[in-house]
Amino acid sequence: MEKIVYLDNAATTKPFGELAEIYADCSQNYYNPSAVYGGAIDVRKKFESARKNIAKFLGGETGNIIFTSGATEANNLALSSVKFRGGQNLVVSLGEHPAVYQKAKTMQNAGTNVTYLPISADGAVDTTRLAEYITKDTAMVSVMHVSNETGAINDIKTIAKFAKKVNPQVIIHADGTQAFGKIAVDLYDLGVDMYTISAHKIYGPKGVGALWVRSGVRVVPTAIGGGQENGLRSGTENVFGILSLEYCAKRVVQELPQNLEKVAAYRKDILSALDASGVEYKVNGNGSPYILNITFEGLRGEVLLHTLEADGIYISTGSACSSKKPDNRTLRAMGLSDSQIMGTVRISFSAYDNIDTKFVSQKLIDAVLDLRKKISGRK
Amino acid sequence: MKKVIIIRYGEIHLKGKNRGFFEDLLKNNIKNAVVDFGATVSRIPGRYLVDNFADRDEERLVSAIGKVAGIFSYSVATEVASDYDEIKAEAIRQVQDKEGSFKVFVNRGDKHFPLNSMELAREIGGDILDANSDFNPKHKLNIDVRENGKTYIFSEVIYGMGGMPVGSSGKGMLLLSGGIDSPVAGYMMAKRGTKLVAVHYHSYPYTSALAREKVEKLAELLLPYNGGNLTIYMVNMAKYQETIHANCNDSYMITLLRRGMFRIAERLCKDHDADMLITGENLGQVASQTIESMTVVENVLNSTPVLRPLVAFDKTDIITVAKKIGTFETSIQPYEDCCTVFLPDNPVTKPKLSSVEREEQKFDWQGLLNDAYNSIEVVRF
Repeated sequence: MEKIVYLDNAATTKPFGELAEIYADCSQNYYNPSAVYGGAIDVRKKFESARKNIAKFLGGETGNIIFTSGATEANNLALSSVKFRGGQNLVVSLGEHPAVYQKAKTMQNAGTNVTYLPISADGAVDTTRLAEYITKDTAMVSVMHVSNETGAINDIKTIAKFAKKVNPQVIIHADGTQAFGKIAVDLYDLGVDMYTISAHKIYGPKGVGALWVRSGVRVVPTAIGGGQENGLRSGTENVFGILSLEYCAKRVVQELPQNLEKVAAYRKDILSALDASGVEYKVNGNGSPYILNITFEGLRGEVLLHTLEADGIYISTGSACSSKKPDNRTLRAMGLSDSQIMGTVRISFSAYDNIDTKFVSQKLIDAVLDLRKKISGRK
Repeated sequence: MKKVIIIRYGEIHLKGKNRGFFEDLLKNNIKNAVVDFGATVSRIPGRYLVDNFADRDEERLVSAIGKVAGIFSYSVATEVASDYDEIKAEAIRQVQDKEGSFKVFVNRGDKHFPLNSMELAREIGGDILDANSDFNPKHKLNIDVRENGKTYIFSEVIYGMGGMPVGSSGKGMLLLSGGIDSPVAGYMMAKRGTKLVAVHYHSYPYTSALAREKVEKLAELLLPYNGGNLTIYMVNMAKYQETIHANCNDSYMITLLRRGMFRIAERLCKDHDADMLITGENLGQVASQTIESMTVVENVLNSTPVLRPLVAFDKTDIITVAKKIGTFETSIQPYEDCCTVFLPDNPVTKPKLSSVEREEQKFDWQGLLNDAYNSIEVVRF
């Protein structure tokens, strides 16, 4: 097979080659950071410095970083930390990643009052309707910053402001997995209390992420043990992961403007080519240029995926090829029909790959036209 | 004193002149089931003996032997020399922690043993009572005195899956779809001694890549029932289906598709020495499983019989077996085998052969099936 054109960067990204140097350093300085000899203290200093730096990259000097095994753990930790007293509710959006949505469902089954914020056709929470869902009894609001499905950007600042006005004690959490390092993130400006990030979505290794927590906000640990991370997340620190996260965070924040420009051009090129070809399509969720969620109604996303796979182009679909009802909570919440959901694919970009958009567009158009012809039936 | 598993076989007894062949086959199948544990299999008159295994593997061995067709029952036993004092010591040891009533059963295969079975049962029973006078009867203790000078002492009899040793009833080409029925059909035939090979039809890229993983998972679950190996021929029907869709009356899609599948399956049988097709078809379950459909589809075969072990089962009965053999949970994953992109709204339920043959004249099915056959992918488990 020819060279792979990897366009599934919302699933995971190709790690920076420079991480090998961090690994080499960690294989020499491998001491347990909880130990008290000099070498160990040096290791501890390094990742304590990483902790501060990452908070700074987030615009979150007013809070602290808790390192976790990834975004799922960070999201779970955030939701587990809030106490819901006498009928107080948790508000999450219908477009949340399962790491928040399923966690909320589990809490609901265990008796927590959960309210689900609807999302509009553009994939984002409709901020004009917040009063219907967020009340003085709302103890926590968790809304993702950027949708992993559509790239839709939620207006976290408005949501946080509104909720704090209704209940000053409310805790605001945002899952920033698809936002940090891709769009501008300033936690001070957003006004959140907790924020989730992940390394492997920003060209880092899998298995490491963090929850940023504003100073003074309570965290109830779920991993209990040796008392690492100030007792909030026990377990020997993933030193390589943490130092890698720092490296990646620094780089993507520094290079954010030119990255955004590059990726926006990719997106624009593909859409222009589609327009020129006359192929019918519909883009879902206009937000982060990193994610292009696109419906070719009448086709099956997975068939299109495999057709492009044969040309070495890897994309994603939100719904597996199944005779049963297609299943994609986010797209359904946006009001897409079964056949639209079935025909939806997600193309997501990396700022560090050079994509031949002409080649990708042509293959995409060819595949759509060919499949449309084949399934249209008898001539 | 050592632990062994003694295995008793069932119907093989009935097979007269062929008995030796069946016994060797079963021994070999047991060997395949226990080889991963480093255990050895030997034959003693009337029994097989699994030997040389670690205590830690006992539970998994018991489970593996339960999936070998042709075994009536088996027991984990302690082997001692056929000597009264040794038998007595082991019998008392096995019941020493137990409370309640007991009964001693004796099977004396070795007629040279000085006591007959009644006498031995009585004597050992007395010994146990002497050793533990509080004993109130509730347990069984079995003493099996064999001709090899050894005696096997055990309390539990586990029933095997019965049936005939795999390989004793020919070789069958199983049409394995990924649904609930076909793995059960394969299991049923393996249980009756048929060695399975399988053919799976997909329609990539129209069918999910996950559907293939699902079929591979099902194949792995069938392995232990099939003597530890299974070959799957993966056939891509996408072009064949595309062409039907473009040229023929869509109502005949399923019929034409199934005729293509049968043609390929028969050719596979010829090329790989299989004696029959095996399907999970079930009368009346869906449009393609009416007697008219089955007849028109089967009509393409020249000389290969089709066995449909589930033809008269109710779905609930099939599901019961699927759960028992552990394939159900995998089968109900939603990924389909045969593309529904081309699924007609109104499939013919009672196709006429003449109409179907007319549809087949509209496209080059020989060429397309030839191409599909020539690009078959073979996966061996």
